[in-house]
Amino acid sequence: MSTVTVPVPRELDIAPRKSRSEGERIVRAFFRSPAAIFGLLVIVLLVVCALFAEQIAPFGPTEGDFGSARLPPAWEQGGTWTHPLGTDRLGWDLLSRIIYGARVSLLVGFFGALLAGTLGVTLGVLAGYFGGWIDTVISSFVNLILSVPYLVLVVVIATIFGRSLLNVILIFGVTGSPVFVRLVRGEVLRLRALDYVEAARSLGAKPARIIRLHLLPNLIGPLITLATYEMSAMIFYESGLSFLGLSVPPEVPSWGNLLAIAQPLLRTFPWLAIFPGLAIALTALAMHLVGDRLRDVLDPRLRESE
Amino acid sequence: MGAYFLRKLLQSLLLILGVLVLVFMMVRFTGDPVALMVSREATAEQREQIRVSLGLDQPVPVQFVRYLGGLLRGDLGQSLSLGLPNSLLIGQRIGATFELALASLLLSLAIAVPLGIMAGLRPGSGMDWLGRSVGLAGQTIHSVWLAMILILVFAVQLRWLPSFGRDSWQSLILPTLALSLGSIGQIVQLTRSTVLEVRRENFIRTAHAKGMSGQRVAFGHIAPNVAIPLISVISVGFTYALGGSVYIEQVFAWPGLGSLLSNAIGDNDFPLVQSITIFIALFAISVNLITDLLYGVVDPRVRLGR
Repeated sequence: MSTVTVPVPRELDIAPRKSRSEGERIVRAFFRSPAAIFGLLVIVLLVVCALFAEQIAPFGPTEGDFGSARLPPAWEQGGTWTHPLGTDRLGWDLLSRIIYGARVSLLVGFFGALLAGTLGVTLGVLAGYFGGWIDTVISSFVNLILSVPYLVLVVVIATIFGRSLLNVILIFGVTGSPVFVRLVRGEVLRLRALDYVEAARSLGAKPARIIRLHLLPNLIGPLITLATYEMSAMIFYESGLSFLGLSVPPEVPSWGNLLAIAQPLLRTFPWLAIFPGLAIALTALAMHLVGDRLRDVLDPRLRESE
Repeated sequence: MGAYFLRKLLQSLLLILGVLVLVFMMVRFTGDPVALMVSREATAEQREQIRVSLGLDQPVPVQFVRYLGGLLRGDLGQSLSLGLPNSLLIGQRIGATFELALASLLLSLAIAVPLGIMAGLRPGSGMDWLGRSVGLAGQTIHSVWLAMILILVFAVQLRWLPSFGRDSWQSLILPTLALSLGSIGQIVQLTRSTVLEVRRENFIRTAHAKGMSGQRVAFGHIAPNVAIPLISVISVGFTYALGGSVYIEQVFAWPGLGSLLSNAIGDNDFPLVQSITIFIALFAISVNLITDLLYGVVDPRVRLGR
């Protein structure tokens, strides 16, 4: 059977387009939640810290003198406001190191999630749209990655491939992709059976066009939400890897490295452990609050019940 | 029934083979394993000796088959740093990890399942708020940090509980608590969303419409339908505990597989890292298989449907 390709006139293009008012509505709805605003403020603060650490931090990450070593936080007895959160054994300023630590966390979170998302969307679309053996291969890969405890997988890969920021991002990108694959594959399977996609196909639209104009726009909402959660999870896992000495080198200030340094000194200098952990918790909390709100305002099904 | 069991069993075997190939390949194809194992001062002769003694002079497929054969006989190779068979080392440590993981699983189920059910039955209530907060806490409070805080409060300040080792039943308490927050959070969320899903079903609406009391609907209609999907939380909790034990055992000096793994990572002891990972992966896959089979026994839809 031969197929006749008919050029699709512009007016017949039935791709859904979001009007400007839709975007405005989403932004307005987002800012109606105080929790989401708080989360967003924390994230903005972190990004500013990461970008301008040199200007903001009172000291360099490895700048210190033994004279001011082992100082407690300023409000404790013996503390000084020169080092608000105290210092470690070498006189390194804890606040400055936490500010510099935001760099590692945000880099890993942002690029890890970006890579995982890109990889996951590509594989998910391929598996969902084309099915057959492509789907089998991709789904097996996903099952393989998901069947091994995530932490163990990351630990092994980091041990073998070496310890660097780039490797950590690559590891998280690959091991984080299955959740994106599952989401995208499922949605594509559901959407491609819908009438409007069928209509586009009968008008002669090529797969690439259908995917780009008719499938992907529907996925943007859930993908942004998932990416926010994944970013938070990756920041979480990076600090775990750092703690085990599997991420950036020990002299680089990352929140997990700070926890690792603090562990043997826990009884004598508890503040060294408390504040980096607080930074991790605050970051993860902020991203979850933003993610929860995004999920609510971006999902049309939840919108109706509002 | 038989076909379902057989299919699941085959899938698990394929997964195991996949994990073995993955781990094996990663070690072989990411640079020279010998270079990673010996010190920089080692002479070329010493390197060659190690290469031959590890069988690395053979072609890769031969190495893999040998390796598989060894595995089947229970031979996991020799630890480089400790000079003992890996199977012996793992055997010595598995009991402690199993004890910790089981304690964590039981605690998580005991807290998270009732909380998740109550939260799901009354969305918007105080219980629901508590359930969602616990879920959020599990994803924002890092287990390493929680472990340190628990040590500070219960071991350093109050002196109630020991902070390291595995001497009495009291030593189990703090590691279990630290390990469980993450899985409690996950299980609460999973349970809550399962209950919410069941509540939306038509037969629940019918039961309400018939004038059935809320309590009778909850126990008679919702509970049995929630119980089935909840089987999967067992494997979620177990996998979580196994992964988290890598950090937690390190903080509490708990003599299990996790601390063995982190020490092996520190010593660049590749064969040991590889063996522990494979062991944990096999364990996780087996737990998954068992829950899948349980599913099949309890719910005919799972084993008959596609």
